[in-house]
Amino acid sequence: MTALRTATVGEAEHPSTNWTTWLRGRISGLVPPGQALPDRQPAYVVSWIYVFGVLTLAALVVVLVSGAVLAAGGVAWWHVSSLGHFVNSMHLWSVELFFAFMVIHLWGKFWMAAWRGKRVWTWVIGVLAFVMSIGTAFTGYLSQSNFDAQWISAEAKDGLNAVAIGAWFNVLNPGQMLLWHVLLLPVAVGVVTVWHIVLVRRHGVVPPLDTVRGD
Amino acid sequence: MATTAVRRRPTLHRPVPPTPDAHDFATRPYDLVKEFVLALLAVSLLTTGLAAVFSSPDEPAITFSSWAKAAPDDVLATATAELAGTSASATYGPPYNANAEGQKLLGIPTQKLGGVRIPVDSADLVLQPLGQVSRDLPLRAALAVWRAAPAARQTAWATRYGDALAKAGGRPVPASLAYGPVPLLASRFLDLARSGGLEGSLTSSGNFYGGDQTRSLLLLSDGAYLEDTARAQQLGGDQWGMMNETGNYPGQPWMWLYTFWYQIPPFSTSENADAQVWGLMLVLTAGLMFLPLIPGLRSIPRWIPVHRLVWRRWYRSRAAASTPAPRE
Amino acid sequence: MKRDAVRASGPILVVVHMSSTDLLLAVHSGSYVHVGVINVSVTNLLIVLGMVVVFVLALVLPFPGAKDLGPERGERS
Repeated sequence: MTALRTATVGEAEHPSTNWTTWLRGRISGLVPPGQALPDRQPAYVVSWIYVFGVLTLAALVVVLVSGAVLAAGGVAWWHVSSLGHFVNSMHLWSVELFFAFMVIHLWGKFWMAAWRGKRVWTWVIGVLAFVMSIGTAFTGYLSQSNFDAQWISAEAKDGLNAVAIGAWFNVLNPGQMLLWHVLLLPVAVGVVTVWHIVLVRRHGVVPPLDTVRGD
Repeated sequence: MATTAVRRRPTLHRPVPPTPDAHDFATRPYDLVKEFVLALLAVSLLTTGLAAVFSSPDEPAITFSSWAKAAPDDVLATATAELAGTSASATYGPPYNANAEGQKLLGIPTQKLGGVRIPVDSADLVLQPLGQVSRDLPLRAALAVWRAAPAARQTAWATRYGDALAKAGGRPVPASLAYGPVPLLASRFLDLARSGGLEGSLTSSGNFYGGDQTRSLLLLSDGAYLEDTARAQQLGGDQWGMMNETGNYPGQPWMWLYTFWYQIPPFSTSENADAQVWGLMLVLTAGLMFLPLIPGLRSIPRWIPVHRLVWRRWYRSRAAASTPAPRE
Repeated sequence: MKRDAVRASGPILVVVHMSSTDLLLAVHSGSYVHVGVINVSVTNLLIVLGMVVVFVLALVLPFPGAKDLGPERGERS
């Protein structure tokens, strides 16, 4: 009876052309062993400033859940239902909290110069998440089917048309904007968020400034 | 043993030691999952509380009917401007038409780059709904007269009538052959709007399902009523409107830098303000994104040591560890 | 906005004629702080000030955890 082994005959001589092996190696190599969900942190992680990343993530979850309920009710539901209006209020305030926590998180990371030690990409992806979140919120405002949506689309078209983006991304088309808001942009923000978190787990929390050695 | 004095203040020229690996440090227990669950609970409670206390705005959309009832002169003037080809949409340029160059950024005609991908005939915003009205012989006659006239005469009629409306300031304009069929067309358009017959007409024409409000919104924004309503709520572009919301509801404070530029010269008086602000914000956003690579900016955290607050316990414990124990 | 006094004596009935624009402006726009070029809503201002306060508190409030942050031998991850 032979047990499955990861090393097979011939692998020592020939590098694996197995795509699955390659992908598995890439995935498991993303984060040091045990660091995907570690139960310990470096001893210098002792400050309230560190909770704003996870607060941002938690706010994002509330945004997504409240948004999902709004989506379930449909575009006009919140205009005609008081429950729908309440869910809309939750969606608005969770977005305000999301941005507030994200910006405080950014302030903290700036003053800690958190891009040190091979963490430039973590910073870049974080700013990308910020910018994409603004775009997502923008399409949300356009999807309100009320006066706000009318005015915002009338104004925003000028900015986007001035740089030719409006020729494809038509803010006067609520059908298009709603689909961007509910599907395309949240997926993109989700991917960028996961990437950001993987990078944080990969490199660990940045050590304090002026620390020379590990001890 | 002689030691070299270490300069404490970081300068641009002092070589920065490489950042040590975070995994080489002593650790302490830390429950990430519990932290996330607590954060989720806290945010959920906070959100529910804020939603319950402050709610969210929902100012109803302006309908063509409400526009016609609140500002009939504006509807007349707008319909006339569409026929004259002088409305904002008629003179917009790409992506709606080729009647203007559009905005430029550093001399590059950025607005033209997209092409006329969303063609809209501004006169048709008025003529199409009117053409669908039945059993109105004077209207049909007026439309026939309009369509038979050469473009130059159409423009002349509508421009003269538009000027007369502006001069009359709300008072009725005496009839004149100089205006051709325009006064009747405009007045029928106002009646159609008032009756609710315009709702959806520009969206779904020829199509059962709507969903694209481009033509409706262009007509609405060609009038003054939409902007007047917005400005009354501090939502105008030169009122920091991008950051604001109707009533006392929270707006978008994170848009502060984007909207700031519109408040000051040269952008506040520039014809190309939108393209210029976009270009500027692109540069500034890139600056934020690639800040770690920008010398000077990336050193600010060293010069202004806010981090000493964050890691004060760590620094204290390092100082204590390096202090030799007193001899017995 | 024009006012016409309908009766000169006794209780005065004031008829107020408002143009459509006046009607719009009567809708309250919320409270704003207007200083020079700056025009910010009170709500937004409170939000931003609140964020700064929270940021400062996050920096200065003590975080619960081991008082002694000395190196713990044998507890490397």
